[in-house]
Amino acid sequence: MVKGKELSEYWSTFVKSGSEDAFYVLYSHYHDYFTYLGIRKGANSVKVKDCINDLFLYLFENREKLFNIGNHHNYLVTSFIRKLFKRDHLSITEELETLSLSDIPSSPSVEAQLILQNTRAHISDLLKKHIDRLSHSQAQMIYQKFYLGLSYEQISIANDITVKTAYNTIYNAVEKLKKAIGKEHLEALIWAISLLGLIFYFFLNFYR
Amino acid sequence: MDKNVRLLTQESFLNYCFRRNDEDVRYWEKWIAENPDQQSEIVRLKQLVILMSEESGERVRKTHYAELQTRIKQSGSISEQKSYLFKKRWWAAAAAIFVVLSCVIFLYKGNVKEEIVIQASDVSSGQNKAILVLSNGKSVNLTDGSEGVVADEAGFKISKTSSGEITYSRPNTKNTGTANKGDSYNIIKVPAGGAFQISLSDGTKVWLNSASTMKYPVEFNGKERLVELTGEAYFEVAHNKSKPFRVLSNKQVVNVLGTHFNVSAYTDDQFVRTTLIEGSVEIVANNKKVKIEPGEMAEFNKSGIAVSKVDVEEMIAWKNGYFKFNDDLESTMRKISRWYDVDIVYENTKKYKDSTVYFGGEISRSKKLSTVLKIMESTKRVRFKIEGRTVTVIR
Repeated sequence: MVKGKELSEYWSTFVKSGSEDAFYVLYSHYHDYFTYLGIRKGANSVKVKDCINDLFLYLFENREKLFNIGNHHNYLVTSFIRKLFKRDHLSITEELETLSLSDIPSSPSVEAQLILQNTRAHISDLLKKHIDRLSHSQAQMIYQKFYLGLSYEQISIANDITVKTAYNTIYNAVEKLKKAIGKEHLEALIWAISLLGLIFYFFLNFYR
Repeated sequence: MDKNVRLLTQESFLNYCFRRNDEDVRYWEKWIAENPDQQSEIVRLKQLVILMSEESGERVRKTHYAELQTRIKQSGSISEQKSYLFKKRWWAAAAAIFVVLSCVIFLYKGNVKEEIVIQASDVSSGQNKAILVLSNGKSVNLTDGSEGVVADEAGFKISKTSSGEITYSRPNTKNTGTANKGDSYNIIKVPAGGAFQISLSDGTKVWLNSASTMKYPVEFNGKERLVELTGEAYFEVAHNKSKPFRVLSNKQVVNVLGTHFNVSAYTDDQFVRTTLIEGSVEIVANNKKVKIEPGEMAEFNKSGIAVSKVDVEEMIAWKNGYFKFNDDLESTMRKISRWYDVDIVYENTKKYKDSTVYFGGEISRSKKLSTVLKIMESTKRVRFKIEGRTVTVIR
C-alpha cells in the first residue's frame, strides 16, 4: 500500500507542470485516505467528499502557489482537517495529533495483488459491470466497509442511517454481486489454480 | 449459500482477507486447517471480497473525481475579469459571468486511448491587435499606444478610445464643403491572435475577429456605403435610409438598411455565412438574391445560398468573448487556430471522414490554449500536444 509520503514525485510533477495524470494519482490516494479519516472522525460522507473536492479544486487552481511546500503530505492532511472542521488554525496539539493519524488499515496484500493480476480479465470485468449497476450508496458503502475497513457503526453515522440499515444495504448488494458472478467463473478459476498447483507439484517432484 | 454471503459481510472474515487484524487472521487460518474441505470455497470468497473491494473503490473514486472535474470546468468558464475589448458594458459582463460549460460528444467511431498529453508550453489568448493602413499607404500599429489621436485622414480624426476601439470623428463642423472629392480608403487588418473594434465615420460599429481584413472609405460620399471584408466581423449598422450599407466578401454582397448582423467569410472555410440578429438584410450572390429574417443564417457556398434558422448566440459568441462550439473537429480547430495564432497539424494524416468527432460547448476566449484543449481532451475523443505555436491533434 502506497503511503502518502511516497507520492512526493507525483506532487512535484503536478505542481511544476499541472500534469493531470499526477493530479489523479494524488487524488486517488488522498481520496481514500481522507474519506477514511473523515468518517472515523464522525463526519458525514457527503461533507467528507465535498471537503476533499474543495481541497483538490483549490490545488488545481492555485498550483502556482504550491511551489514552496516541502512536505506535501502534512500540508494536505492539515488542510483537509481544517476544512473538515471549518477551522482556520489548528492548535499545536491538534496538529501533532493530526499528523500521527494512522493510515488506512492495509488493503490487499501482495498475495491479493497477485490474484488480482491473474484474474483481471474475466471476473473483474463482469464484477465491474455489476458494481456499476449498484446504486451509488450501495457502491459507496461496500467501498467504506471493504476497501476502507470501517465498522458498521462508523458507516451508519457517516451515511445517516441505522446500523441495521447499513448492514442490510451491504448484505443485499454483496448478495446481488455474488449471484451475478455466478458459479461458472469462479469454478474456472478454481480449475486454473488447481492446475497450477498440480504443475507445481510435478515440477517439485521432478527436481527431487 | 446464504451462509457464505453472511461470511462476506462479517468483520472477522474481512479482517482475515485484508490481513487487518492478527487475531482474526490466525483464527481463520486455523479454521481452514481444521476444515480442509472448505478451503476452496474460502479461497473463492476471499477473491470475491478483494475484487469487490477494488472495483467499488474505483467506482467511488471515479464518480467523485468526475464531480471535481465538473467543478473545475464551471469555475474555469467563469470569465476572468481581464480587460477585454469586446465587453461593451463592463458591469453587465461581470454579471454575465455564469457561462455553463458542457461538453457533449457524439460518437461515430471511437478508437482513442484514454491518455492525456502533458503540454510542454502554453499559448495565451488573443488580444486587441490590429494594423491600420491609411490612404497614403502608411501603416499604423493600433496594438500599442494609449488612447488619443492615431492619425488624421481626409478631414477626420482617427482616435483610439480608452476601451481600445477606433473611431472616426470630424473635429470641426464648419469645414464640410466638397473638399474631399475622391474617396480615401482605409484598411484595417487584424492578424491571427487578435481582435478589434472600430466605429466608422457614419457611426456603424464593426467588431473584427482574428485573421480578418476590412477595407472601407473614410467618408461615405456616394449613394451607398460599401465595405469589403475577408474573415469575420459583426456589424451594427447606423441607420441611413438614403444610403444602403453593403458588405462585399468573397463574391457575396450583403445589402443592409440598418441592422445587426455577422458575416463569416474566411478564405479557408468553404462558405460565407451571414447571420442576422436584428433588422433586415438581403444577400446577393451568383445572380441570386435572398432576404433573411432575424435568427436566420444564409450560407453561400458552391451549391448556392441556403437559409437556415440558427442559434444566434453561437454565431456571435466570439464577439461576446467566448467560443461556442457546435462543429466538427476541423472547424473547431480552425477557430482555435485563428484566435490563438497557432498552426494545427493532424497526426494521422488520413482525415477522419468516416469517424467525425463533434464538439459542443462554450468556453471563454480569454482562457489559455491549454485550458481549452484540456476540456476538449476530457471528452476522451482526442488528444493534443502543444509545442511552441503548433498544436498537434492526435486521435
